[in-house]
Amino acid sequence: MSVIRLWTLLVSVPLLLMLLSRHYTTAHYEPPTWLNCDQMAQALSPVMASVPQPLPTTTTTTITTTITTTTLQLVTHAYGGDCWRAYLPVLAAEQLPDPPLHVETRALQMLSGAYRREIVRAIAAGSGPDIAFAGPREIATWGKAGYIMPLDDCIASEPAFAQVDPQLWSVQRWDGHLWGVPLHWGAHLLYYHKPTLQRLGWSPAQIAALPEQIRVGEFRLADLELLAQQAIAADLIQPGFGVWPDENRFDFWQLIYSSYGGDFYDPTQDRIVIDPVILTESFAYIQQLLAEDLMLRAFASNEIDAWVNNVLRRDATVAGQVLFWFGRMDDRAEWRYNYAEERGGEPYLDETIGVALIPAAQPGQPGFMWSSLAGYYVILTQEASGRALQQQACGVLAATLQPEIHLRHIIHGGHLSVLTQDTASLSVEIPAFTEQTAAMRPYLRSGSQIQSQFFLWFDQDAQLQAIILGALAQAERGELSPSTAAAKAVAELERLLGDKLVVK
Amino acid sequence: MTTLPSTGRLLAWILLKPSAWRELIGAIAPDVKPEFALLALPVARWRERALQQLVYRLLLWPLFGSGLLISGLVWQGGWLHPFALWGWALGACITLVFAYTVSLAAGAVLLLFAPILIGWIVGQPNGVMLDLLLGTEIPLAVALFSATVHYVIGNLSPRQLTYRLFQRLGTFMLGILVTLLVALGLLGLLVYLIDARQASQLVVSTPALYFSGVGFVGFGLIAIWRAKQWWHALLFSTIIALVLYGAFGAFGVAFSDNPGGYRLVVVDLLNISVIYLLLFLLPFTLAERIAGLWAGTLAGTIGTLAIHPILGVMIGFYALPQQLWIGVAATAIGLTASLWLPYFFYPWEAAWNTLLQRLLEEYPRLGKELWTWHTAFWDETQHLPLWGLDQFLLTVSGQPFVVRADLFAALAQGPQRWAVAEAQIELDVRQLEACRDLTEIAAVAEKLLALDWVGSMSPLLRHFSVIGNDVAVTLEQVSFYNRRLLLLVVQQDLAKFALELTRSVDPHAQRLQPAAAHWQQIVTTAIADLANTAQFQHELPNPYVVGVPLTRHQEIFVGRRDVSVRIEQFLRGPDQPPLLLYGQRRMGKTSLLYNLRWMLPTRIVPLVVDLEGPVSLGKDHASFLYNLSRGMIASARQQSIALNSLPQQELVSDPFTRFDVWLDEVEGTILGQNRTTILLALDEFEALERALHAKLLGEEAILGTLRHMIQHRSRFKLLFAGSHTFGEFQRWSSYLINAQTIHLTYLQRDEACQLIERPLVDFPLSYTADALDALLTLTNRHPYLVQLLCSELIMMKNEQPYAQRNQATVADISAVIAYALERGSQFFADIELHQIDPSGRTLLHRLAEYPAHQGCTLDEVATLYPDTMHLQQALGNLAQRELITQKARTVYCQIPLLLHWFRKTPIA
Repeated sequence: MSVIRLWTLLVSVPLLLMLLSRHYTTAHYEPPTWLNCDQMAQALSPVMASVPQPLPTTTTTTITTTITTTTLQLVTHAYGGDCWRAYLPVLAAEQLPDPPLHVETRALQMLSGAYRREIVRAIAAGSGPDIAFAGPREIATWGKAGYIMPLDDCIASEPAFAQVDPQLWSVQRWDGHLWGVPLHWGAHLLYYHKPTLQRLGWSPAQIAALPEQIRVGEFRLADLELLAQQAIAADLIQPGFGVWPDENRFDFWQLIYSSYGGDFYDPTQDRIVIDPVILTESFAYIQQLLAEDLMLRAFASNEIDAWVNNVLRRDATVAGQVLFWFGRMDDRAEWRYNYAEERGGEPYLDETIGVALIPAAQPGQPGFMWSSLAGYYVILTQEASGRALQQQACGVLAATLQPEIHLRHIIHGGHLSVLTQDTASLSVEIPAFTEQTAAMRPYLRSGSQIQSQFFLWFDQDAQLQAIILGALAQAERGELSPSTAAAKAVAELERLLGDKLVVK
Repeated sequence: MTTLPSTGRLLAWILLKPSAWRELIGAIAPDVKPEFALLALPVARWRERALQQLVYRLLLWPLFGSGLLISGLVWQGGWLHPFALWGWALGACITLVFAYTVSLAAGAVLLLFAPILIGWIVGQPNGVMLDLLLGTEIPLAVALFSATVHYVIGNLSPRQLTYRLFQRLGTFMLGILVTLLVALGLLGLLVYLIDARQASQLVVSTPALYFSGVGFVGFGLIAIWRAKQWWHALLFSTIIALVLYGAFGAFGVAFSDNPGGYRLVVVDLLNISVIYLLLFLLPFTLAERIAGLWAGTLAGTIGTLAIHPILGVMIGFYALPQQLWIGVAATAIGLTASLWLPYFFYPWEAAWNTLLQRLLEEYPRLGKELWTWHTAFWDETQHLPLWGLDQFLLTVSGQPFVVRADLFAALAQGPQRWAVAEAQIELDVRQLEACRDLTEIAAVAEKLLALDWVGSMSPLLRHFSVIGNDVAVTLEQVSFYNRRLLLLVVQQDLAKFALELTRSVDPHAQRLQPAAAHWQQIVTTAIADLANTAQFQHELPNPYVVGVPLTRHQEIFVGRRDVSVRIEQFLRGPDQPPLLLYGQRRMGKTSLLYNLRWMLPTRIVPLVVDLEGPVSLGKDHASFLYNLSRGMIASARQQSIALNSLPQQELVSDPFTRFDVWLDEVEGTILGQNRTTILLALDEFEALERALHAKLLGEEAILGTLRHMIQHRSRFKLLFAGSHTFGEFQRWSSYLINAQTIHLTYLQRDEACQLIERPLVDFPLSYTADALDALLTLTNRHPYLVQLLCSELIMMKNEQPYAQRNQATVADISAVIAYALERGSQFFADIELHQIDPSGRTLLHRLAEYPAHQGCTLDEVATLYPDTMHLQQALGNLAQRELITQKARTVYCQIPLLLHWFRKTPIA
């Protein structure tokens, strides 16, 4: 065997074995690696500078090495801008008086389905964490399964919970109990590209006034359409790049439906509501966007490639190829994270991308925000975690609502604060985007309320969405007129929901 | 050691002058194909300096140059985002993979533009991935890369392109099938991956693992199929896997991550590159193994089209119909590049060449440096006739700095050979027109360049060549009469030829009319001059041709009718015995063979081939068969029968099979002209015996082939001619068992008298009876000797006073004997030295001591030898040579003139 062959074997085989072994262990659900939040903080240094108390860099290690302290375990689904989910309880625990309490945290960087599976596997093994992160869907599922404990007593015992926006309690109330401590919530908004408007002849003052025009109802969906047409005609943007929808098609439809004055859920009756006229109008508007080449037909594609679509959609919007687009607040945090190095991060975004309420369709109607799903901390039962530290966990979660701690996550994650407290009174430097969105809060329509409540008793949401989106797709492709598509959707919804549907 | 050209020249050769590239590779690595991949090189070859230099020059310098260019555009020009450097690196990697796995030459060409192109695409200031997916960059780049590889490989290995249509169709379908299999496999993997991701079944770093794993397996398979060395494959695939894993890892991409900006471009372009390379390389490798290189590159190129549906599945934004159509169109355009590129470049090349020609006309001194700049000398891919190239060649060929043979040889095998033909024809015509007298006409036949070109001009030029040869023969004639006589024939031939040229509508024929007219004038003038000279001198005509076979239909070929009748009888017979025309040297065998065409019925076509010279001197069997075919073609041509040529290179691999096939063609051609029998007359068969004896040719191969012809080709009859019988050569007699010998001996008396007294109609010389008898006796009616004496006699008579000139006497005959011995010394010496042994020489010397009619008694002869056995042997040999005869107990020499020779030569 020649020297070259020998070296090939000696080098290749260990390297390949090393790669494979690393992934082999991961594939068997060994504990994932700790998320390095220090690196994240460094990448986001301009924003970090505005936070009065920098993150201690030795947090996790000091907690785990103290033998006499009580150690809580926290598992969160967290990465990127939402990294702080994993560290708010850590910081909060440091603020608590004696006895010493520390939080050991694990931030899982994986898809939400994998995260849920990870938690359930740990619980099944009797080694679940004391605190976990959960969305409305998980609260419903885990609550029914007895994994998490009701927090009514905890909430009543801690004055800090009084600062929480009452809406956030109501949307997760189930079976007469509260199940989660709100961490954040967010909303869908309208974004626009300022330089394109400027090239279209708008002055900086006009551009700056656009959010206000939308707020008072002077700038509506039709104006959006008109401006997009002008930009395409002026060759400032490509055809199909005028108005882009939210990354989730069902959310986008709801925004338009809501913009036309539609209401999809009646909390008083706890029933789905559908207005055929408004449904027709929402279908017609979206179909019009496609017909006028203001929106790409690719958005009507199926969900299998949603991830690629999303990253590409974001790439194009941040690069200024799109004039108007709908999106969530936390999208912006992701942009800041992903484009910090090559485009300049926050200053670039402030300079080029404007944010506004979603315009109303009807004259005289104000713009609005459409709330997205909220996030919660939940406390696992003794059976699920194997330990009786629920009371200490409650104390830690109450402490996370201290504004100086809570706002770290809100700012970095691009969320709405769950606190009713006016942030202006705090000594924390608030970024422009957070301020702007906080100011829009009075115009928030609670979309998440629909989903949160509905998920608790309705497990056919996939079929419901398929009916609406199926009819919408037929209208988009021109196979059905908007009114026929709407009538078809209503008929199918009636069959699916029966008396749980109110047709106006 | 072979000196390597510069990088630029190497690339130019690959793209435009593949013959030069093939020659270079043949020189530095004879066992490697011109389109070789680095992967296919044995390790030992990597240590060879020439190959190392070749790789450096083809890969490193272009890589360095393109890197410099991109860097300049990024940092100095500011035209590109610094990220363009990453694109450049990606393009370089793709290119190196091609150079390694498919073809070094193809990789080198890709290196010219691929890194810059990808660098340019990703380095656009506001470039985003969506632009790439919705735009035309990806389909165009993919098609451009694939088609370039196909084009380069097709260019370097033209032999692959000679496949017949159905073979091509078969390989094409195989390529498609393999492509489909690979594409479906990749698509299946991808869909599985996406589904698994949706179901959250994948671990964090799966993209890196997946793509490096797919890279490891895919490229490993390719490497092991191509290199057939496990360690080579392992090394290559490990490097690929590590590079991919490192690239993904460096950009921190996991399925739960949402990369943006240039991270997204990196991730997607890496994915696209891996998919693209596998879509090309897997079908290429499989199809290449199954159906050859052409099918491989075709399958790979078409296979890359599958990238569009795959991206359509991966990416909702992907404009699949648009991209697919662009991809299909661009690929189709690329695959047909060899067809349309010449048309595209033609106007530019024409403009350049015109400019060059004008420049050379204005400034001839520049020609030495510039003439090779004509596109014909560096663009072999241009198959369209380059306008004006023939004129250019004419211009250049007259320059002192150009070796005309080299100039024409450079283009003679390429697509522009037409221009060489035209130029050579024009030069030939000019040579024909430039002849000033008979001497120049005789010499021009050797100088004509375009005799072998296929087309209407070659027969016409050959006709001029034949006329030139005839004039040369004419000039060799001693007597003015003969000259004039032959020139009259030439004149008639020329007149007929000129008439044909006038009637012909062929432009070449029209071009030759002035030359024919010019020659007619020269010949007519020469005839007139000769006529005047002959009239003044009252010269006797001398029709005798001494020593030169009578290859034409001439009056002095007399007799032999009995022989031709006998030959015809043999040919009619049901059996097919070979014939041996046996006779002493100069007995007229060759003349008889050449005159058979007028003596035999027209249904029999005699093809006469002289085995002396090139045929029997060939270095191998291919050479022998080639020269034999040339002889047959030439003989047929004299009878206005055009046989297909048999190129020598076609005989290299399997000469006898190819020759047999050619004989089928010959049979078909000749029998198609209402002929029934082909008489292959092989003159001087002893020359072949010498070649067999010297082991230059194989006995079994050559004689076996001849025997096979006799036994299995009923239309072919074989006739050998020589001065030996087959019995004298053991091997011949064993192969040609049933050979029938036809003895060609002395002329009959009446035949000899006709030759002496009436060689021409109204021959002015008469003989006294004594003189005639003396002549017949001296020569014993040997045709050569009769002509020799008669010729010398006429020359002598022409020197006598006019009054004595018209009658020959015995005294005249006696007087010319000495001249005849001198002029025929070669003939006599050959008999003395080569045809008889010392014992024969002794006997002939003894006979020479007596008058011829007296002879020598057997008893006296017996005293010359030690015993009776030696005596009988000497007598037998001489009798077999027809030199002596024995009556009663007296021995006579059959040719008294021969005794004169022995009388004047001493006994050795």
